[in-house]
Amino acid sequence: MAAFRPLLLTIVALCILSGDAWADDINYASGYKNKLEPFLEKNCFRCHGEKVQKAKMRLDTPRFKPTDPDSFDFWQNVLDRISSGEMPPPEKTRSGKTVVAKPNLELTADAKKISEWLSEALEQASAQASKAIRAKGKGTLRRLSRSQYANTVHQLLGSKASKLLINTFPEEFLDEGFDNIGSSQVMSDFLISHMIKTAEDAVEYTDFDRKTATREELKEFATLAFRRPVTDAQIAPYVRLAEKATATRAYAAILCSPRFLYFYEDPGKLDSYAIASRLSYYLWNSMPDKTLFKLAAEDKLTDEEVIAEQVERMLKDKKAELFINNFLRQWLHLENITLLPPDEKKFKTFYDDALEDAFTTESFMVFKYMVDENRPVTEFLSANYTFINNDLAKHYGLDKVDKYDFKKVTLKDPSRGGLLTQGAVLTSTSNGIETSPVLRGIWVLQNILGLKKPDPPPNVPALAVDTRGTRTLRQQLSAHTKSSRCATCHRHIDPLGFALENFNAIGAWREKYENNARVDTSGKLPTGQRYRNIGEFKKALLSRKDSFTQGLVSKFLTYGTGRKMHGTDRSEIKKIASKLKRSGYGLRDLIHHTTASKIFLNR
Amino acid sequence: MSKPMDRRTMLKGAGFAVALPLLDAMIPASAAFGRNSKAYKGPMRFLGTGTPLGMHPSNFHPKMATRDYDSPRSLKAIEHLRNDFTVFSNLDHGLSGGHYANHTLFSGVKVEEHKDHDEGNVTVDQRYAEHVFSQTRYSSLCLWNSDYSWTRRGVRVPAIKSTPHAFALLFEDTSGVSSKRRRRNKSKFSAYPEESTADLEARNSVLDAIRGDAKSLEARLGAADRNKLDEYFTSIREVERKLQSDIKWSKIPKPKVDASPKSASNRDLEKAYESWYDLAYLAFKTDSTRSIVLGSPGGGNFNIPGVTKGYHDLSHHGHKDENIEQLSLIDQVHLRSWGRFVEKLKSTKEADGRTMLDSTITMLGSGMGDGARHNNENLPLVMAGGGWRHGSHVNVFKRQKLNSLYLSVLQRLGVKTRKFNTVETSFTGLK
Repeated sequence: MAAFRPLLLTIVALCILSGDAWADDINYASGYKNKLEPFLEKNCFRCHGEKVQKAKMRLDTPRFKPTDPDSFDFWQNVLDRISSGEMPPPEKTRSGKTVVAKPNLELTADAKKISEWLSEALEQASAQASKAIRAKGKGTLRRLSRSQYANTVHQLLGSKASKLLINTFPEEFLDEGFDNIGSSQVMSDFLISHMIKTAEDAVEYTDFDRKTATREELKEFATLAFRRPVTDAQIAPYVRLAEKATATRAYAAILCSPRFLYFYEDPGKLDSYAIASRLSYYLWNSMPDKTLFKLAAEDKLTDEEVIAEQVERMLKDKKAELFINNFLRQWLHLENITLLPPDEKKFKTFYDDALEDAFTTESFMVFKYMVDENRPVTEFLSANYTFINNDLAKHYGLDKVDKYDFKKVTLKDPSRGGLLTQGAVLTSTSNGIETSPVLRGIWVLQNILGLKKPDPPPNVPALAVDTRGTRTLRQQLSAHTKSSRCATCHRHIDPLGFALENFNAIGAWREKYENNARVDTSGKLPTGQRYRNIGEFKKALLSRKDSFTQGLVSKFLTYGTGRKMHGTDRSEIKKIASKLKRSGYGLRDLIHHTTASKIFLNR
Repeated sequence: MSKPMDRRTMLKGAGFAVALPLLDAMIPASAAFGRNSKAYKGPMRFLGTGTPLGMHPSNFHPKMATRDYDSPRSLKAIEHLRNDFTVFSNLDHGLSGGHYANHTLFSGVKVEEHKDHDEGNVTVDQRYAEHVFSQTRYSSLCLWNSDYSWTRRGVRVPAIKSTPHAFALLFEDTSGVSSKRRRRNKSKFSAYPEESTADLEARNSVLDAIRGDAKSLEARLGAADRNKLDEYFTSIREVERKLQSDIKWSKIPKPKVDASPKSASNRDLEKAYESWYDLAYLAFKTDSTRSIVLGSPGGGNFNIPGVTKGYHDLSHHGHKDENIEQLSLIDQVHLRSWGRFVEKLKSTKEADGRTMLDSTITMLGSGMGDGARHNNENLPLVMAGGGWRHGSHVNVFKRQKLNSLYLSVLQRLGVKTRKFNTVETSFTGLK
């Protein structure tokens, strides 16, 4: 027996050694085998395995290779579900007709352990993969969006020209609400032929004299339009065109060149010209001005301090309003109001009091105030103020203000304040007739909790709301949480929407439905926190402010870079979010942190 | 037998010479088409009308799947034409999304998924327009409201929104109008400007210049970016191809018609329908186009006797009888208006003695099934014309997809294809 002892010791020593090595560097293959797989097998394969694939998700086949971007995203999604407490679902026992969830402490502890490990593994993979991806360059060549195009032409040719443009363009495809995502943007013969025709008109309507087109004149114009220096070879086709056809056509052709329409950025660290464009289309939704061009020519825009100075200058400029307007429209999906407008008869006040404009102005002014005063982003979740005019005061049931002007008012009751109670959000998440707790729930899930929207399973019979009896929408939607097929997702989505049921389809307060049934707003977050009303709901959301902040940073970066954030961007986003936390959550700081980030300054 | 060409191979090798939509060349030479091909040599036409909110199912779908079915409440509006149309049940695309899937009525593919399909989310009218191309002044017309007509590149075709504008494009002689005045008119007429032959011809050199510039940019780009720029080159090629057709037609005088444009506000739904269908009829009659999609307005309040509430509001009827009754009154306007168009085609003789209805396929449907449920199943759909024997209620019990019907429609229109978006089998059950 004694003879074995040294060997045993060696084995123990080896284990410690290799254990140490793991602490530095997680081995994906063995980590999967020893840690992740046993957990998945015990808790997940039953519903996401060979026989059953709930939510179209199968966990027993994908390899754990998180340095691969697709694999990374897959496992990040798994991690998000486990760490939010959403998965694995607690076991249920049936007592009579009601189903009761059975809390399982062992499972909770196991889930916590595995999400910690998974999170470390993914962080490591993210660092490794980022290098690989950085070498290749991120995002797809993007072009000017419809509004960016119009603003840019405005700046190049004056206001008369730009007015002609925008309405004739085909609508943009919105990806997560944004119209500037390179990979989703569409280029078509419709767009090009409209661009050529409108460019010709625009040049003819210009405020400047464009009757002649010498090489020098064309070069000067193209340098502005292409947003970087132009070589003689690049300008040659346009010089030839001016000789062959007319000056107008040459200028118009420059406005149809891919150098004008697309953002051309070399992979890796961006040069000063590319940074000038990123900054100006981010914060002005338009082309760089003289100052930015000058700094780019001097190659000073790679300097952090210069960027910070410029961001300050740009945010003080009136053009920053173009950013706020455009970002808000897309972030809050305000186009939904136009798509499914409130019914004219049922919601007469919406039209009589021009509430759509009032809602947009409210959201705009709150956002602008938060940027100007560097207010904490947590005020998006809960704020004791808002901006209203008299019509909104009436609509929200608040004290009167000045007749037409919007004024900042202090709110005493927590039932108003923050994004969730703004008319714009409450209306855009309804369908113009009724509220939809499911749509609102998904909105909260995506924009406040920062989670992905799951796809509904195919061939699910939709619900037809019955308003004859006394059953509330909530009672009718309970079918969602009774059927196990639907419950997986809806038990998390629907309660988030019910919390907002005190607001009707255009955001007015109500305590009862049309059939006199009382509104019930109680529920719980996926993490288990309970709430009874909107005030408590907002409080519960505030406790999740870290994930909200990360989601928000990610939205700003998506908008600013024109590409969707990838799983491998997660660690950088987390860094920005914790930097923001340390500096007090200010919205102006958030913008600064994004423009100073690697994500923004690299491609 | 020649080997069918793979679309991707063709794209790679095509360069600038071959325009993309000429897919008919890819059909195996030995394939047999037009099972029912008849001697008729004149133009075939397609008109599809889309409505936004489904139709109340029990008032639309007959119970019995036979020729002597009893017409439910809404369908009674076109009872007198029952032998001229077919009504379908349990036919759909298998999609969901409620209002956000309504745009798939004529394609069966959501725009957000268009990149997953070879032909994108091309709608049946646009697929036919690719085939007709320059044979008519307008390869297609999208009228009234856009949402139902999409190109293979995921682009929503902009609609001509007013009947006077459409009338001017089709029949007004603008050859003497200065280009400046045309431009001024453009802001009024938005997406469809008219241009002189000279302006159009000059555009060739503009295209040359931007292509020259684009080529030198392409050399500097990485592979992913080059793919993106390919979309730009393809678009330029398509513009060029259309340009040649536009130049040709700008030299041919427009047809003269003995009519003036009627117009009506959307509130007067039935009158508005009449003005659009009359215009479509004239466009077909003069062979100015052979493919039309008519988009009914998305909601709002209508002046219809007996209707007091908004259309969208009524579709959320909450199972209240009075709401369902009002909803049926609106559904009847959709059907009755379409029925008048069918009658008009039927009463017009072609040169060879057939009626215009035989050489036209027309459908009315919605991308939503039951508006109250926001589902996209069991779509309400009626079809007339095309030389088929109508008069039946065809219940497919979900065994066939709506795209199969469109494939048969395209084949009947003369498009040599054996595939349409999601299907490769044509429809069975029509004779």
